[in-house]
Amino acid sequence: MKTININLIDDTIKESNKSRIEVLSDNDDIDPRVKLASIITIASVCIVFVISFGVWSISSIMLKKTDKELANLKVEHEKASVELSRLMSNHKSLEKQNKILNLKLGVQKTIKSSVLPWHRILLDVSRAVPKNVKISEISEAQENQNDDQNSMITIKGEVSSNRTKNDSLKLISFLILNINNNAQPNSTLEKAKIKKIDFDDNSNTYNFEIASALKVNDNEKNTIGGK
Amino acid sequence: MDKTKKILLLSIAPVFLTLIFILYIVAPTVQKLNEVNDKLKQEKTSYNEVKSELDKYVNDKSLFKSTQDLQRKLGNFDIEIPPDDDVSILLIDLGKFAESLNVRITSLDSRPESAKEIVNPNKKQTGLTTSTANQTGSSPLYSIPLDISAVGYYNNILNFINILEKYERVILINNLSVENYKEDKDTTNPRVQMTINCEIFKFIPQTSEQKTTNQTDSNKA
Repeated sequence: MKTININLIDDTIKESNKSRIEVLSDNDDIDPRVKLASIITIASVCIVFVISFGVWSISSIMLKKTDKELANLKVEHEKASVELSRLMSNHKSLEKQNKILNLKLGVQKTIKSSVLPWHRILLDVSRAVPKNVKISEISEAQENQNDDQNSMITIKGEVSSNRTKNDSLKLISFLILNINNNAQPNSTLEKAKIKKIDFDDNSNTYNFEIASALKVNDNEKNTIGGK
Repeated sequence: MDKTKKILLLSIAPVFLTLIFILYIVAPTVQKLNEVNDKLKQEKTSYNEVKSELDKYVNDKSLFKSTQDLQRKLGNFDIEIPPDDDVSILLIDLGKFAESLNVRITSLDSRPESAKEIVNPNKKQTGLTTSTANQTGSSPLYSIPLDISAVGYYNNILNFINILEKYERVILINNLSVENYKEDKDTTNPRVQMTINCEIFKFIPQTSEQKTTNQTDSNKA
């Protein structure tokens, strides 16, 4: 038996090899520098894109967070503002109240500084007045009201001169002496001195006027009458 | 189109896309973030100011304390120096006191009220200064002068004066006149007739608005 060797594929292989070589030779037409540039460009773009995407992501997250924080802060601010306005109005009304109270305190001090212990003064005068001496008026001396000294009291009265004139004058002197030598520990009058003595022919009496210093300090004045 | 151009175009396309992404998405987001950050900073500054102001008011108890102290000190002020000039209660009480002490009030004379200047309590000064309301501007303190004549035995009169001094409403006695009661002239133990020259007060606190109005009026005049 005779074998006929027919190699049909060989040609084909040769043909295909030939066309592959042709293709390869076609690819080699691209400039390798262009190839490199395009690769570098695409790589750079990728890096830039990744970075900018990262920036965008972080910014978006931070934006959301900051927005939330801002909203919360606005709420807090609003609350604090309302509270502040409430406190400010309270403070204003308190200031107004304080002003009026201070005025009242001034009024109270002013009035109480003018109050004299009349009951004690009258008691002291009644203890000091000798028989036959009549007291007609007791008043606070007006001329001393604005001085820094203690208040002065003016005592007006009369002594009938049915006896001798000297006796009448003696009685007035006794009144002064009694006031000045008052042994009571809390006596209110001191340093009495005669201001005026007039003889009235019609009534046959001596009219006198005595000035006496008041022995009351400011603290006592403020507690007069237990007020 | 040759292959080189195709490759170049394909390389440039992502560049454009990335640029668009940066310009239209990334940049506005960053800008907005900056704006919000600025707003947050401003808000924080203003919030801190409000907060510090708030803390100042919350921690400042001095005014409150001083007001409380004054209120405690002046607890009876409205009774001692009331805002009205009604003397009806005073009259009722005077009658009661006189009756209990066997003293007879023979007359009570009330004179027109006058404004009183309030003296600075820190300055040592005794006595009140009387002036008209115009002179003092608008003093809230008014004095109502009273002359009370009472007849009784000296000790009873003394006790009556003692009660007046202790009375809840401030009665400032200025002057006392004494004389023997005419009807008892011939008796050995005559009663005395005492005229008590005194004054009571009323206090009308003025609001700052009223003061301002008064000042404006006086300026106009």
